[in-house]
Amino acid sequence: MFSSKPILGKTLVLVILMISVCMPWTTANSAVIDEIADDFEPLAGVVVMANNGEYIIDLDESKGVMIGDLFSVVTAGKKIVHPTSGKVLGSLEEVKAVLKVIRTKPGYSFARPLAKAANIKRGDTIRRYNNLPALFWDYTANGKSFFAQLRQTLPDLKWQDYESAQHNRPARPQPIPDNKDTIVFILTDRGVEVRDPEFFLLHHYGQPDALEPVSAKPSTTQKTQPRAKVAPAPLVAKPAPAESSKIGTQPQVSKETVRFKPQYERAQTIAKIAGFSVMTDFIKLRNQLLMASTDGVKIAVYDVADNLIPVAEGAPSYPGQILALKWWQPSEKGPLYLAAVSWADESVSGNIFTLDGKTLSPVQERIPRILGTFDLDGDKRPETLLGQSFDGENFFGSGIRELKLTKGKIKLFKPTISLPRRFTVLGSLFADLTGDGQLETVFIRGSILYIYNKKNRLYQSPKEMGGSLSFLTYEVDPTAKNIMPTSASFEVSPVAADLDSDGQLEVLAVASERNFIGAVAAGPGIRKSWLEVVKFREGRFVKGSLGEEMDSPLQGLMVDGKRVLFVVTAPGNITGKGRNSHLLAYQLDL
Amino acid sequence: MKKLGLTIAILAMMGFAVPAMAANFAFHGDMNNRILVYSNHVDWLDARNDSFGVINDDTVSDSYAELKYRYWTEISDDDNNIKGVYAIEIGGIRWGREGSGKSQGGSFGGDGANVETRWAYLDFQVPFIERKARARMGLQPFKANSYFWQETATALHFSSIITDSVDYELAFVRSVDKFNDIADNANDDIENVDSFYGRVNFKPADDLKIGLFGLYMWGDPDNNDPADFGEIDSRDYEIKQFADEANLGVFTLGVDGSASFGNFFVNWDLMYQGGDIDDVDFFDAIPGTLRNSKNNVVPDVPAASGDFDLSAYFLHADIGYKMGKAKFTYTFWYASGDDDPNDDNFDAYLAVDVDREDSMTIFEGPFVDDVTYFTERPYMLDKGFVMNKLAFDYQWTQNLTVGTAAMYMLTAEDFEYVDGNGNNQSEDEIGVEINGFLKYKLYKNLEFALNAGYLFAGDGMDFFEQGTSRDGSSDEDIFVSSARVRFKF
Repeated sequence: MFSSKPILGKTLVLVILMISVCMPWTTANSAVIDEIADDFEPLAGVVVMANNGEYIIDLDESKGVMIGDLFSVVTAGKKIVHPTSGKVLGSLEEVKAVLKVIRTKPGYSFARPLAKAANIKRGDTIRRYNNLPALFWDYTANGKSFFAQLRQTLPDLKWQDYESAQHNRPARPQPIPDNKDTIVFILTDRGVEVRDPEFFLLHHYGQPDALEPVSAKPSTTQKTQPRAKVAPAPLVAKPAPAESSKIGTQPQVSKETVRFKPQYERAQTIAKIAGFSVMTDFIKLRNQLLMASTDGVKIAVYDVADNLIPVAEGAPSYPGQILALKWWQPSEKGPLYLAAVSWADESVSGNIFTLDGKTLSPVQERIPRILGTFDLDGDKRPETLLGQSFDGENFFGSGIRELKLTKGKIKLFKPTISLPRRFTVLGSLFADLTGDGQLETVFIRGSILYIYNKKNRLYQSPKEMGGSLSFLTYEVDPTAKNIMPTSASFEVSPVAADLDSDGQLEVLAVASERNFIGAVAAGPGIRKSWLEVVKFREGRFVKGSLGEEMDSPLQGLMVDGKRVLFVVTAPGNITGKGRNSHLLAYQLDL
Repeated sequence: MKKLGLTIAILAMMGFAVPAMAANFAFHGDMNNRILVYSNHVDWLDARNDSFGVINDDTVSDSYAELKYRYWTEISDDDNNIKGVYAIEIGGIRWGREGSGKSQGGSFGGDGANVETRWAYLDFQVPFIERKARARMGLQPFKANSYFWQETATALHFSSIITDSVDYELAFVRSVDKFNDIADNANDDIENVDSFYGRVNFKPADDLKIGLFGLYMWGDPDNNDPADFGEIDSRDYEIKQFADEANLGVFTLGVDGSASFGNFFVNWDLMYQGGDIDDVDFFDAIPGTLRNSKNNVVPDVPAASGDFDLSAYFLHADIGYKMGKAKFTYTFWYASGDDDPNDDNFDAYLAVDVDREDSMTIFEGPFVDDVTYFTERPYMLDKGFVMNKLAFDYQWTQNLTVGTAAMYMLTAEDFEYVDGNGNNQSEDEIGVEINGFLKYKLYKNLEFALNAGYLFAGDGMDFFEQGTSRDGSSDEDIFVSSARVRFKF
């Protein structure tokens, strides 16, 4: 028999142990839960008016509205009548539409309906994240308790139970076909993502620590679970301004003193790029979007889906610095090539690769030209390869030839298009921007975007265009004893796309603000970047911007339907430490 | 119209081109810290002394550190139609050396006057020409051929293209100016030294480039009285050393170019020189004697005087193969030499102003290149040169490159001299040099480099030995090693 005292003592020890184990668990979970509770806090308002397929609602950022927020447009359904007293207790609200906030203004916001707009009327009530179906996909196998907390925190969502959701979840996160209103919460070992019915990232949170105690090894179950390949949005840890003083005055760090927010709040992170990227190029094939990326040494090719799936790798067979990449597909049904420009042996080398299984096989290397590819027929396939001679003083020389692959060998031909003297085959494109049936020549050089019609200059931008980490310092004449280094920057090519669906192409290009270091040519010195739009309107070119300013250079750009894809690369320090790249997207037609 | 999503805001900010005269400013630099790690014969490398490079018996070792920094600014318009360049050079400033001027100003206080203008020129696109047509005037880097003339010069240089595969250059260079210098003599001839240079480059294919060039240099110091003759010391056998003292009319015609075939590559240079070098005394100098006859040179009687006909040639070829990270290069050159210092012909090839780095122990291979070399020219004295060099370069990693080379060197004509024992000697073998280098990028633009070379001296080097060791056979090998830490941007 045991005496009561030892039992009591053991029980106390057990309780203390449990408390000590659970305390950090609870705190860590609470931090994430609290963030989610903040972001999904109920809000109610009304539809003010319809406007060109969009709706204006009477809520703004001051009320806590964020771009991407989902509002249920509710309508009163059946009345709830007391069976004995006959008193109307309320009514069952029905969701007749879902609105997604696309931009905010002081006092109101614009939203667009998801799926087909129902009969939304002025004065309709809207409620944030109310009565919408919700799923919880757990890719850690340890998230059941977290789900319980989540469900308790967000009772206004219509949750599917844990087991059912787990049973039906895909092997890796991917959009749900025909999803009109279901929000998906995805728990991976990198944190919690919340994706809207279109599978765009709404929020990202850190991982609830209690899922994986630091000392704990991954369970067998976890090892066998497919891991989510979608990388989280880049995170920055910033003390909330209101809380900073607390850190100084109170030794205990409040659970609310640190908040995690996506660095680029308006952009959706598709994936983190392995290593980093100084230049990327995209090509849309029939059922595939390929991205080629280089860190300056090697080349990686990815299939861009909801994440990046590695396809192939390669590099020139000789050492050098890879400066630029361009996809090239001379014929629609022919093979796909990748043109890479590298710097080796104090001169420029062009290299042509073809995809050969999981490797990039060289077709021809050491072509002494700077290579760029272009879509001249407007079918979005870069069928034309131009090669520009190297000039020691200016890098981009005056001789430009069209390169064609004949019997496995590159041959040079006189280009069929008329080019301005300062044209560069990198950071450039051809497109009919004025709608006159003729191609305009667009190129960025010396931080200026130029638009030419043949040799006539139509437009010259302010000095803020381009800005690239692909940067080279080289000696003008390597044979000279008295060296004369200079530098060249290799710009991301602008993109021509009908961004506003008016049937006319606009130019979308990278722009940046550079610091003095850039001016003195010690490096690109890019302080912030953004996307600039140049449009031909009423007989002249006008300029605007797309999206937010970013504090890192943009190293790739593409418009894929209604998505603008771009690569952001944090340059890191002088040793390269801290460099990282992410593929992000803006949705044009929210 | 369908609205753009997110935050596209078309702002009617820029309808028309902004003025084209916005200025671009660029600042470049080369901050070069150099160290002579060690040499066992700094007497040989100290060729800028009045007595030139000599080889004393036994070791004469030393080491030093210096800095040489260059900075330059470029200001241009947005279209790069006009560009102005100004460059300064600081130093070299040798650590611990007091005084002002070249290699000085590194002692206590470090306040030596050691800044010079390196470049100052204007470069512009000739108006009304759509194709490239650049004119450059001022103190500028000038290159006719890297074995002939490649240095800073005051010039008017024009370059343009005829077709995509043909371009050309024209230049006028003034090397010596004696404007209205009538106090010097009673004649009224123009006494400047000027050159006309022309070149046409043909590029029929990307992997083939052929250049044809010619340069005519003339000048007349009006010293046709034998008492006023200029002087050419065989150790100063380079046009820049005597251009202001000789009545010159010298032309150089050349063909150079390069080609590649897959991984093979070839470079070549071929030059012929002719013309007259008049009104000079030629001294077949003896190593260890002073530079100038007026400074008691021995011998004090010129080997020949008066007017000389120049007829010389130079040929060079590199043949190489690139294999992944490795590159093999075989280099051969032949610079003609003069076989008779007493006749009225100059048969030795003449460079104008160059810096050759091909050898560590003979040329400017050491990174400390201001004062520590025997010669900057691709030949020795007026004896010409024969170079056979096999080099292997290997880029180990993205940041590390190593290389080694072996070379067998001779003069084209023998050194003919009387040795310390009174015997006549005739030797041409300079010897075999083995050298190597390592270059490592500490950061992207910051390089650490180390090199070293050892000359297994041939008997021709006995010509430069001093005292009793000058006996017809070489007694002293030469070793030199240098390093640098260089930031360029």
